[in-house]
Amino acid sequence: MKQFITCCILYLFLLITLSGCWDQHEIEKRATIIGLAVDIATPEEVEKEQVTASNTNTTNDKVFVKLTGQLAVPGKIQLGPKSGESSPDEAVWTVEGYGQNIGDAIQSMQQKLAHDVFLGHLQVIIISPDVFKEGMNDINDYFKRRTDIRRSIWMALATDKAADLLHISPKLELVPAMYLATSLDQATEMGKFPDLPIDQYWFANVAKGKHEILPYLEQNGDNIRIAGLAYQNDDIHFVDPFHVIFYNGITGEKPGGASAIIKLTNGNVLMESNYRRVKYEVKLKNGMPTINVTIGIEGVIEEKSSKAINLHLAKTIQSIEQSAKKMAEEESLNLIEDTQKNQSDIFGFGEIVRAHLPKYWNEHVKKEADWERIYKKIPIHVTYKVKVTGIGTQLH
Amino acid sequence: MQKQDIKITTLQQATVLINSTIGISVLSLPRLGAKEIGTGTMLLTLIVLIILFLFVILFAILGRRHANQTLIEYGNTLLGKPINFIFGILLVLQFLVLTALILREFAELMAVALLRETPLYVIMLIMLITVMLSIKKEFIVFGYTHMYYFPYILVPGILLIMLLFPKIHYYNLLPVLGNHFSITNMTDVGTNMLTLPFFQIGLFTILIVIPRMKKPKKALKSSILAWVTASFIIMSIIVITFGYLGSDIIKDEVWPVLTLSKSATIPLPPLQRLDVIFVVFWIITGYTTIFTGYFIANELCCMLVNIDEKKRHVAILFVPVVFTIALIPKNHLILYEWMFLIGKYSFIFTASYPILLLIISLFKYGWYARRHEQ
Repeated sequence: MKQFITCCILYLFLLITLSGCWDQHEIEKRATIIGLAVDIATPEEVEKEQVTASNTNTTNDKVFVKLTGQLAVPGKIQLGPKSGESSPDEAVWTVEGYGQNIGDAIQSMQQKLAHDVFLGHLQVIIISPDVFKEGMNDINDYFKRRTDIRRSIWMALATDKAADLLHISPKLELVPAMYLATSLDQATEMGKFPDLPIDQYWFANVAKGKHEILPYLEQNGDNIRIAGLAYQNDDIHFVDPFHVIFYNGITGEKPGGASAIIKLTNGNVLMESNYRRVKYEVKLKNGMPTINVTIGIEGVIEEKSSKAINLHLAKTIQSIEQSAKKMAEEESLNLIEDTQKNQSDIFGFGEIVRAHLPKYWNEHVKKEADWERIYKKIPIHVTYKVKVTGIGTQLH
Repeated sequence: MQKQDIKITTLQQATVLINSTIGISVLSLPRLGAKEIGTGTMLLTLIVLIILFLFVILFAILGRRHANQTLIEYGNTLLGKPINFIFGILLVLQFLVLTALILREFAELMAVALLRETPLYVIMLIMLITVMLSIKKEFIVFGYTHMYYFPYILVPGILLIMLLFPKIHYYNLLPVLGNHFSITNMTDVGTNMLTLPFFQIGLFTILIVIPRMKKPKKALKSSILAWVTASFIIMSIIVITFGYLGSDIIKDEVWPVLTLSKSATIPLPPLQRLDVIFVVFWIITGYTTIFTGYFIANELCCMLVNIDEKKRHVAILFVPVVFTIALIPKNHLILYEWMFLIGKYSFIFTASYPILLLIISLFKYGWYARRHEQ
């Protein structure tokens, strides 16, 4: 009997405490933010919407933040194909917030929302070039500190106003922010774009031997276009989509999937790589780290431009391989030289030097700027090994 | 009545050891050395696991030599009752404190990762009550519980390793010794790691479980196997954390392995978010470690004051003690400071008591005694 009563009390206690009274959340009562755009705000805008401090004068020389959040409206987003009735205008809702930093702007956004802001389903963060130049510390700190944010989300740079990218109306997805994330995801899966989600950005941000790099998105009418990669050192520099494939090659991104036109003497062919492999060799020569990059590419011919090219001849294939090798080596070196000129090691060669030459690294590199000075001067050699594995179903 | 005489099987003993060793502290383990020795942390963890492996062997040998008696019983004969009693009381206190620290660590993790609005004391109290209820009259239930939870620890652990292994960058693992190698840093960090409470709880279970085993002769073999398995999982998790995140990120994260699991995705829409699944995995590892810690304290206490084994559920008496100790630290920064400090002293104790017993036992019954008789 005694046992029975103790059990009853215990179970009652467990029932009350285990049923999650504190952390209970209704899915409809959450303001689920899917995309965020970060722009620069003027002090007046912030002053008007201030909720976390009595005045805005507390910070000196700091840029203010305008956040635009894209919210999913519960019940309006269906899984599967679009039924025809709902449009992006119905399924999503855009709310703005202004503040001295990201968290502050989120609070200002919260002030306009009935439900709790929830960032667990955030897919993409778009930032404007101004923010990229000045305000990345806030973004990094706030989003790293929060536990509910996935680390596999994308952070991308916009051409001008970041908020504009959240207003596109794509036909393939209901939610613009989802479409942006899907575009980047798919491009990565097809091997046309490096896998650079936000955790890779953060890695480059704290690592001394790698410069941070972001996907660059361009508005194209009602749509967007992946316009390559962007990195920043004093000024913002871009890697155009054609050179992104060499970035992929040098960093050994998997899978392959990039296409390039290979010039021959009597026309040209379009080749698509389907396999990439990279090997780095680091040596200390005359007190300078020397890096040899060997990239193995396997690919197939997709198209030829003139009848004069005889694809069935082993000799032609050999010459395609030769010119592909030459072209890839030249372009890769161009890309590397560009980044060397801008003192931005976007490939992470520094990390490879750190790994292989720890003694040299300890002596010469104390902070990121040290490596960037060294990076400017070091010799880097790129060797391609190209193999054509197929020409499709046509012999000639 | 027959039921109560069921003994722990060899497999159960192995699972007890594995479950207790893979604890919630693995989440912060890579961070301990990341700042001072960077990538050298991996090598250091391996060294620490090997040192502890030696202790595992010593403990198993001691347990096997006195397989018919419980720890306190042979302690009494070897050390004499009064000294052994003092040792016993101190051990009980020590394990209560260690359990409390791990409980607090668990609650801190939950408060950050899953239950953001639930007060800490509720999380801790619920866990404590669950642990207390898990202690049953029969010893075998301890074995059954661990046996049951074993797959829930093994499978997600291996899943995490498998999902992220292809994504690691080899250069994050090099150089093996770390970029700023120094012996003092190595030993400092090494001591902190070696003396982490959850390792001690894992180690000590060997001594508690062996007397209850069906085949105590196999204890050494199964302990070695279990320790190798646990070490393999811990090492893999740490290597992957370093390979994926890099030591520069790890040194800023409170729980790097938790961050790591936020990066794991399967490209299938409903399974895109795996971090919640892994939080559940950490709950189970936390539970098994806290359960074992609490159980050890309870067993030692029962043996010391001669409480009948069938009345194990006096365990309820320890709930307020553990709960109060767990409430003391203000936040996880202080908690980790305490953990290292308390861990260092308690490790001396965890290690010295069984080794003292083993030495005396060897002199009294071993080759020395035999030669003396001749």
